[in-house]
Amino acid sequence: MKNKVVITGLGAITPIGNTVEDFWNNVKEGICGIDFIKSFNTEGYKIKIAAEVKNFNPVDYFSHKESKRLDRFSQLGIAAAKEAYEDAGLNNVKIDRERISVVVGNGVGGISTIQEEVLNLNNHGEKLVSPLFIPKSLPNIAAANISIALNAKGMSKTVITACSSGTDAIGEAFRLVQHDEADIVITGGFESCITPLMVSGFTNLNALCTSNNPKRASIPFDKNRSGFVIGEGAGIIILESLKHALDRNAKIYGEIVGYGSTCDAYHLIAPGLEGEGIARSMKRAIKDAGIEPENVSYINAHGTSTLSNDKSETQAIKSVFHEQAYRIPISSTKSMIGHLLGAAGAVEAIACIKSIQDNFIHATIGYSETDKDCDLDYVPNKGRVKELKYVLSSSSGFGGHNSSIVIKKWKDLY
Amino acid sequence: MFDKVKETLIEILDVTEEEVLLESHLYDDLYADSLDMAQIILNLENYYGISFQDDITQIKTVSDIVNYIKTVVNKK
Repeated sequence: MKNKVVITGLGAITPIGNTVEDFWNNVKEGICGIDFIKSFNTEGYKIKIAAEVKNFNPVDYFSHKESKRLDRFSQLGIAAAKEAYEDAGLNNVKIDRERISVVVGNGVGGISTIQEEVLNLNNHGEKLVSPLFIPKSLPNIAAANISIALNAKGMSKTVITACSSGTDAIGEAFRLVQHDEADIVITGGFESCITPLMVSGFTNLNALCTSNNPKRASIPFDKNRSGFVIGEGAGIIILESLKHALDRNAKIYGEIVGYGSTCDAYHLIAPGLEGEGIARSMKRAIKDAGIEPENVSYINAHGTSTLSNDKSETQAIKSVFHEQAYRIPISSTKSMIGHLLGAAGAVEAIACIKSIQDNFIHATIGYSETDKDCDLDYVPNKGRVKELKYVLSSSSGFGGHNSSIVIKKWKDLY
Repeated sequence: MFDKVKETLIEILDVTEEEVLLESHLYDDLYADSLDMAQIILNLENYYGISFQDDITQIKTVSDIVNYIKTVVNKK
């Protein structure tokens, strides 16, 4: 008998708000968090816009010494984890520390530290490479830092599947609780890599939007879309076995009921033909949830604003939902916060949870021109009220990784 | 020499000038750990153009650092 898995805490640091409450209020308002890059001088760079986290002050979360030891991706992750942990009412609660795990995702790791230290090595030689280089930049280190910060002595693991990392982490955490390997899992994802190196790499891969108009850059499913807008942030979710949550009288946001993960096994950066890998991940998640496609009342799409993703994802949705595909509202949070890469699925899962809680589907903002290849209901520009029970969130990543989760309204909210 | 060591410790350990005394214990009084020590030693090695050859775990206090540097610099 598998455990039921419920959501008991949320934390977020995003380009439109550094708490879940601020993030969600701005999502509902359709606020765009994309602007000109402030973190480095973009003179001479083709791309000048991104979705940066604003007003994040590490001293609000860490001592000066702690802060120096943390790359920004860790800082964002720990900050969101602390919010989620507190939101779950876990501070000062007596719980078995060995039954708390951390399963989180990031796609890139501490690239700003790596870039800085490569320059140190190149410009000044071996002796100027900081001893903090390795412990700041390892891709697992944010997970370890969260375990240390919250005294979580169970498994501490990083899931790396590029832009699917956040969703895959939640899925793997879900399995851990289902199979009674943990009572509580701190899960989600984080990313911070708006650096000259990463921006140049994505630019030369023709992955980024070439418009430097912040309001018409991340325009998922629009005919004029030309690429994604790089973003940064963190989303953390506390998953807990239902029994453990009820025993401590925890607030319950919702339930994770299904997870599916696949690989296209096709190409390094191009989606599989007709979105077949995406479709398989959706089907697996729906089957895992024990429901039928027609039970899904809203899809939070990966919706990156690249030509190929949005077309493939639309094809995938049609192949899973058939005629019903035209009746399911689909929206992309990336229209407001850009592409948070390894954090995307985690922050979007939080958007789904809040959507279910408020019975509100947020808009895909900035949408103006219909594309014949993307002809579904993308909730253009205006959110809508709708009773939601089962919501599907989908992510895909370079390498052909695809993952989907199904989130269910908690019965007390029916 | 003490001033440079003090400056380094203040920067890396996030301690105040008043806390850094010659007799201060690096681990017990100034809460240094192995990661701090790696930074402190590299910083001082680069500044003085020296290399800490011996077992650095023998260095326990601020005066141990100052004396060590003095010995190595005098040998140069």
